[in-house]
Amino acid sequence: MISRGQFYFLTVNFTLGTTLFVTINNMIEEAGPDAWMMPLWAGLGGMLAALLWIALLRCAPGRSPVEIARDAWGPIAGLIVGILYLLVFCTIAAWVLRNLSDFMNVTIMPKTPPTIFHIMFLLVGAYAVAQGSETVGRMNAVITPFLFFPFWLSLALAAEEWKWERLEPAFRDPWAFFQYPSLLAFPFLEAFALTMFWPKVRPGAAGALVSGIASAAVSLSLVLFMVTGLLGPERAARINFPIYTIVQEVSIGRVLVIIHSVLTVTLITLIFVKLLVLLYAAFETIDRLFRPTVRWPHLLALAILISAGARTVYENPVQNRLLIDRYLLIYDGFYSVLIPALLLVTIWIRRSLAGRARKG
Amino acid sequence: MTHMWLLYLVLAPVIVLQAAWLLYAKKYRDTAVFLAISLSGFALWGSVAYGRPIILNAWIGRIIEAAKSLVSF
Repeated sequence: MISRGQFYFLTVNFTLGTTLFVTINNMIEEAGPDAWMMPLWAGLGGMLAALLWIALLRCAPGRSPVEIARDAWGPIAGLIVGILYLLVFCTIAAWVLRNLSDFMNVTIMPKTPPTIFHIMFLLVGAYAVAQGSETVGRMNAVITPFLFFPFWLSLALAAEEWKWERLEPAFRDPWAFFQYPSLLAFPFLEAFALTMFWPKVRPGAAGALVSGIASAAVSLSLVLFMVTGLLGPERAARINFPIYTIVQEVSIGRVLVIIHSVLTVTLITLIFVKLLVLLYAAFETIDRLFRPTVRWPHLLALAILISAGARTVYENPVQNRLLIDRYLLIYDGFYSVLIPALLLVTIWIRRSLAGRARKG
Repeated sequence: MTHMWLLYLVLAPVIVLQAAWLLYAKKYRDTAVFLAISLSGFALWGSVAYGRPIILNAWIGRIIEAAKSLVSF
């Protein structure tokens, strides 16, 4: 079993994961100086979605969404939903790995083949997942302070470049989120993967999940606020990895001049946590669906599938962004809102029919 | 592209040996699940090695467009 605190940190780190790489410049491009408000709206949407998941999971204590689908809709439909969730978790894991290798190739290791990053991360992730949920939860809780303090310290060191004028005109477009709603899907609806941990969390997981999403939204908003104030909206929107650029320009005297390597390690570790949760969710789906007697062969199979997916998940960052803008909300909304909502309605109808039959 | 072919060729014995071990241990259900997942990955790797990768998010887009046209008749 993992504690509420561990689950909370897992939620925060999972939600921040690749978001700090991928969406910062897009959000600033969409909303300019008001970009910091977008994660707050998206986080609110994510918290509402989390309440839906909690309502569903509370209907069947100790069961994961895959098992709830099988109970509610029967073995065949339940199997189809389970396979769908397995594919979804594998696809997001592939996306995460590709984001990681893109970042590494563009910034510090341009000559390393992307597949090397994918396979190495998958092997380490598979080892952690094979140890069980407690290992994942504890490892994440132990490393969180080592991520939190260096990250914010690195950004604080860059504060001498701060200019309030870069955040003006303020509140010109506070509703920009509604023109760019895919931010709700990535990263907040993806947090659905955390529901696979639910049966392994001690009582009180609901508060940890909702407050974890809220904390991630506030952190993301703060990061955007700082990036806008430090780089300005025009420059930040043009750079691929604005946080990395900010810290790259910081130096303390003549000794500490490569602080961005600290930030790189922080960001890579956050991505690893996200990969770990998704790999665990995929493995747990196999476990709940097929009750395997061995672990490693299935983790090996997942590693083969996800490493291939990471090569083919998108063609290039431009095509990726176009498809995210156009389809991601529908895609994530389907598995994380529509299916749980339908499951919940089915359970309520069944219970009310059973109640009436008992009275009759 | 050569290293893609090498990787592709390395994967085949890994999958076959693992499946053979599972069959030898009489874990038939595990063998079926392992083969279903790893062969899906092998097929995706095949598309990469042949230089015609199956772009996953383009497929997701196509499926969503097809679903939209079905819903809107």
